[in-house]
Amino acid sequence: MATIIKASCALPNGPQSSIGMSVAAAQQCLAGAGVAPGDVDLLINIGVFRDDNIIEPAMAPLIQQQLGMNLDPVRHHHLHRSTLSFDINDGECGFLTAAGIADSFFRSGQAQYALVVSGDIHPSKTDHPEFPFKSVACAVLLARTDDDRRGFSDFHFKTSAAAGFGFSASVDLLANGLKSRGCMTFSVEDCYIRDLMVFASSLMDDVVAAGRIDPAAIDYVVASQQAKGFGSVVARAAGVNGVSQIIDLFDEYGDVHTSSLGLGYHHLAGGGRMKSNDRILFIAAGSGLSAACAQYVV
Amino acid sequence: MIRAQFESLGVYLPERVVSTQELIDRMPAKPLFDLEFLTGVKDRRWRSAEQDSYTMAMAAAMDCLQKSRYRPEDLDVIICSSISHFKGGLHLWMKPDMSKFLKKSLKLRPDAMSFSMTNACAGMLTAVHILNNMIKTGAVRTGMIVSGECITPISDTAVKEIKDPVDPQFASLTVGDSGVALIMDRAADHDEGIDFVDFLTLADFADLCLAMPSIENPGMAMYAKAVEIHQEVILRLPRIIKFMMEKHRFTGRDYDYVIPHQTSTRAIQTALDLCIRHLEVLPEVLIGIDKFGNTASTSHFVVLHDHLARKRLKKNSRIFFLSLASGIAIGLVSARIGSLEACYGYDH
Repeated sequence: MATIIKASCALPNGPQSSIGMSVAAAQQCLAGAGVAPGDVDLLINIGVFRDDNIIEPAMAPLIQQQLGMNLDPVRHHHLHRSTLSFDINDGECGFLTAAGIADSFFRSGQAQYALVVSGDIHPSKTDHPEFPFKSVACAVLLARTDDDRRGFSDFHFKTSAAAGFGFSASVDLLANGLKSRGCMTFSVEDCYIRDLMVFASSLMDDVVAAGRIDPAAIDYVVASQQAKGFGSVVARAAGVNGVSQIIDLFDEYGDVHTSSLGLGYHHLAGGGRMKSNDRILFIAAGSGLSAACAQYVV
Repeated sequence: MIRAQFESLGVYLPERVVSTQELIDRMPAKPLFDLEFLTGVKDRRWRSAEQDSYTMAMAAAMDCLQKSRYRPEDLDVIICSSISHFKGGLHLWMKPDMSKFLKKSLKLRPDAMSFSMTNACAGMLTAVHILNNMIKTGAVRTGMIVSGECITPISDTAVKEIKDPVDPQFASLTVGDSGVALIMDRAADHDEGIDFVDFLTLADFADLCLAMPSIENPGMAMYAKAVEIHQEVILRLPRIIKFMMEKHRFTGRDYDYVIPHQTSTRAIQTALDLCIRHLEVLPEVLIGIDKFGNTASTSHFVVLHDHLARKRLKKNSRIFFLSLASGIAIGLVSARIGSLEACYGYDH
């Protein structure tokens, strides 16, 4: 049994709403896969920044509601077919965390499809000049397969024990008062990008040294994109050689935060270059400092 | 097949007790009904000026580790599952997520996973669902779920803003603060630990309860259509219980206790009375709402802790946790808790 990517979608020009843009990406993703919304067992939102700084309910049920996804299985007499939705907040690493969670639901026989959505926006739902990310919504449909040779493997995670977190985002409700629904304060430590490259490289060193990933076998690298060349630096430090292609979309899209890995995969899949048995190395990194990686066989 | 179990439970409850009457005395516009009689909430714990989601989560995690046979470096994952994520006062943290602060302070291994997940008041039991699957499939061996619920800021807002006899902020007066941490690992005994977890989201009603910063006063507010939520839940709960019990081949006779989400004593009783026919027998219902109020994602485990600490439970109890939360998320967790009883000094 393995977890594969059945379909993906990335929307750079969705509605000005974290919920709305995630819904639009999810609809296109499911339509492309030919999978009905009602067939989705798990809906996981990995977006961090949301409309109006809502903290309850999770964003995922609000997205599920707009998707019309198994809205009321009791009334419609299909309790055997329902959706569980929740949010994961693990920043840029959220996609791999969600894929790991979906994998354990698939392996324990509790799900067939998991839809992972992301759509970060400034809480004011505007193109706020202080928002340090580009709003691109992504939806990735994960599916269970019996083919053990394909899919995700070797999930690894690491966080720094050092004092700093590199990048932070918070809202002080007293200081921002009645404007708090539409506020967010971002803080970036000096050398954040450089430190993050070093830290993500250290995760890759650990993984390669432990023999968990063979850098020579990697065909493509899809990475977070805090800066142009971020994936290249980390991949090369890990010993991934020049034969592999590093997907770098920074010039085209900028830093799309939690959508980075989904966007990179979608771009790769849409290019028609991938073939069976190709190996993709996913590398994520962000504040914490935190880093994650996983291998994926097409 | 590997089974997961609850290995240790840590709880932090702020010392300060605030009564429902004290809250009502502070309100410029008093309710026309008897809130304490209607909800069963007499008291709740209340944060001090120095306490927030992070400090309460940390205190609970320390208590949990102190009762556990595991050290921080033994944990493969930490999952933070609270709705509130305040750190440094009313400072809502989005990035890094709260689990990163806790992981660093608790000194977990750098390669342990850490993430936050939210599912309203179902957060902690949804995290149990996630960690149960991770342990069962061998992705991890041991993990901690932790929630620091600094939720009384919504009560502060409600006290100032409630104007109408039927106001969407009345439910905000029933909540209380707490921290809970839970360590799960592999069960040694085939009859110990988690039998099954099953959840679904009735998203047709996802917008019936929303919490976000207020636009009338600085602070957090919750707007809940409590009557509508209750009506929709009680209409559907019996069929969901029937479906899940048949699917997993359990009845009420298999349980010593049921712990429902702690909303109001009347709402709990009405909902469970409707389920008796499907459960065959209604196990003893454990309630703590009179003393602690609705503590959001921690509510089931605050009640469990209260009964364990008072040695009120039978040995090797099997418990049916019933989750009802905004979303609307409904879920069941079925578990035998012998290992937890041992960590509370039960003599087995």
